[in-house]
Parts: sequence; structure tokens; C-alpha cells
Amino acid sequence: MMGKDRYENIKIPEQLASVIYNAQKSASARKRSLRTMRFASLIAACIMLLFTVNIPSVSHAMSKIPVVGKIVQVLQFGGGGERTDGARVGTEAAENTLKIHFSSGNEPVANVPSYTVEQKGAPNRLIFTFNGTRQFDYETIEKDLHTLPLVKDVYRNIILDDSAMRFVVELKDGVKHSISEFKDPGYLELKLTPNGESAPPHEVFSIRTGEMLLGEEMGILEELYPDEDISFIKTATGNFIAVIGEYDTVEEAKNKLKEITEHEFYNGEFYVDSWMSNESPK
Amino acid sequence: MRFNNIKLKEEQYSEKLGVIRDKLYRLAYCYVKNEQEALDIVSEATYKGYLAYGKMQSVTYFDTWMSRIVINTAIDHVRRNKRTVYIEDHGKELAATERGATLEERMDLYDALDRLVPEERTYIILKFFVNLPFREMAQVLSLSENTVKSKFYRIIKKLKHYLIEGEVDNV
Repeated sequence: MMGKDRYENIKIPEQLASVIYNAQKSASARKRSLRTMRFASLIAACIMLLFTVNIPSVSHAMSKIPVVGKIVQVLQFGGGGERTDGARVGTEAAENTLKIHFSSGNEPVANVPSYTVEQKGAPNRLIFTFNGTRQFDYETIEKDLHTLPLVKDVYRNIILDDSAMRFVVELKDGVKHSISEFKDPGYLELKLTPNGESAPPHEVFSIRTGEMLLGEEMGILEELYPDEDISFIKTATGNFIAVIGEYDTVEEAKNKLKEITEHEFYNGEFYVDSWMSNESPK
Repeated sequence: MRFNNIKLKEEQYSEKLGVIRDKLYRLAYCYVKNEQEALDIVSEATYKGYLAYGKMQSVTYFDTWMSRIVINTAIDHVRRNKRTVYIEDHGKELAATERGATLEERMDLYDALDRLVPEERTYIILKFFVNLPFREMAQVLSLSENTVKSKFYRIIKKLKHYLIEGEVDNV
């Protein structure tokens, strides 16, 4: 018997199917544990938040933070601050101004932790991301932001980094904003003012996913497409969608979708949709 | 949404693997000639494949992709266990008596595998046993067709050299 025949006559052991099945089971368990580990870090961050909010000394320390500092920069979008670790975040709202201040221990920090502010249209919104902020009082931030009359909605985004926080502030039509960064102590001031004239609403095309709940899936999607400018919008039904790009024509959106389908992690989750610039997608 | 996709992909992986599992086992077996070790290789390759399957853009080339994983796993396995056997030890066994026949006819290539380093075995297995054309071998090995051809002919030359040595020893 020559080589080819001997190859074809290699006996297939009976346990081959079960060996393959067991290997798949182990791999599946491994995948699940990776997902759980990432989710656990988020839960840990949330637990820290609960503790921080309920510890009187921390809340008290926040309330005493002075609000006069040296101005570093004024911007509408961009970033600034310095790298920190574990800064606590609190807020203070008055009329159309929100101050976001930071402390370490019971002392205010000299500089704002590293942050970015993005501005997006359709709907008009600001996306705040802070790094090096392990203990943040998001509930208070949300509550304070809701007291500002020019704010339409506030919601969190989930990112798979337990030392970072991100939230979105949706603004009403015809609202201008400015963000001032201060140091000694470090804080940010968001000031909203009515524009007087709002731009006429127009149709906007974009690449989007179906609706998802606020959760880990948002963070995973963002990690899967690191080169895309993904943002998350709260829909009219209170769920969330991932969105990439804002285009004036359907062709531009289709071209972008074609590009995304070539991505190695593409799973058919994105499609082209349109909605009015002053409305939330459905 | 995405989790449904993951679930679907996992089921798809299972089904596709079921279709080619015998082929994958034979591939693995050629490197180690031992049932338990071949099963270990298939198991490890299944595990690796499962973790990476979600990243595959297209399932059209699943067979090629999975074969490559088995081959790489088998090569790693052989290296780890230092099972490479050299020609100096086994020159005589390669000798064949039929003059004028092709290399394939004159030499039992299944035995000849043991004389080759693991990477070289791959070329013989894919060409003579799995019957792949050079174009498909190039896909499995992620190499250009010309590179595959030149490496293949170099291995054949080496095997012929062994064969001649065997014949000389036989005289």
C-alpha cells in the first residue's frame, strides 16, 4: 500500500466527535469568562460609585470645593486636563451653568483630569469623557444637568474601562455652549445660552445598528471598531443605537457602510438610516 | 443583536467543523502517527479556531482556514515534543526497487514524512494525500503560488536524494 492509500485508511477514532465537542465547550467557557471579566470591571466601578455617594465625608468634601480658579482654556469641543488616577467627580448647577469639579481624598485637585468633549449633531449633543476618574457621582451629574432648562436629556455611555466615564448631554434646539477649564482648583464649567435662531431641521443619513440596552454591548462595539467614530444615541423608545458618521446624502452613507463591511469584525450589525436633525432616531 | 450573531456563528462553526473533522484528524495524524497525539492536536486546533472564528470575514474558506490552524498546531506540537527524525537514521527504509517509476510510486511517501522536518511534511501531505493544486496549497499556507512550487520541488529533490542513497545502501 502506497502513501495515498495509507493516508486514506487512517482509522478515525470513535472519540473524535467528543474530543471536538469538549474543545468547543472549553473555548466557549473561555470566551464567556473574558466577557464576564470585562463586565465585572464595570460593576466594580458602579459599586464604588454607590459607596462614594453614600459616604458623608466625601459628599461633604465636594460641597466645600471652591469654584474660583485660573482659567486655562475655553472651548466648544476638544480636550484638556492632565493624567490623574482615581479623582472623584462632583457637580454644581446654577441656572444655565454646570460646574464639574474634582477631588482626591478630601482635597480638590489642582488640575482637571484628562477629558474630551465632542459635539455631534442629529440630535445636537455633547459627549463628555473623563479618564482617571474611578469614583464619580454620575447620579448627581445627571440630576444637576437635568435642572438646566436648555438641556433636553442626559444619559451614560458604557465603555470598557473602569477608570473612565462618559456621558452625553443632549441640548435643545438653538442652544450655544462653551466649556471653560480652570486650574487651582481644577474644574470644568459648561455654560449654555440660547442662540435665538435655530437652524431649520434637515434629514441626516448615518450608519446605525439596531436598538440595544444600556450595557456591555455598547462597550464591545466600540472596541470592535476602534478606527470608527462610533457614538451612541438614545432612541425615542429609550434604548440605544450605535451610530457612525453623519452625512447629507444616502450615497455617502452607503459608501461608508461598504467600507465598514470590510472590517474583520463586521457581523452585519450596521445599516444605513436617516432621521431629522432635531429628532431622536427610532 | 450582537450576541445573537455570536450564537449563530458558534453554531455555524460546529456544523462546518463536523463536515471536515475526519479530514482534519488525518492531517494531524500524518504529523505524529499516533492516535492520542493527533486527537490532542485536533482538540487544540478546535479550541483556537473557536476563539478566532468570530473574527472571520467570510466562511467560504473555512476548510482552508481550519486546515491551516491544524497544520500550525501540529507543527508546534511536533516541535514541542522534538519528534523530528533525520535521514541519517533511516536512509535504508526509503529504498524502493521499481526503477523508472515516479517518486510517488517508488517511495512510500507516508513513511517518507518521518524523514522531513514538520514544515516540509505539510507540502507532501497537501500535494500527494489531500490532492490540493498549488493554488489551493498557497491559500492554506498563506504563501504565493510560486513560493509553494519552489519549496515543493526542493523537498522532492531532497526526497529523491534520500531515495538514491537508499538504493546505494541496498546494493
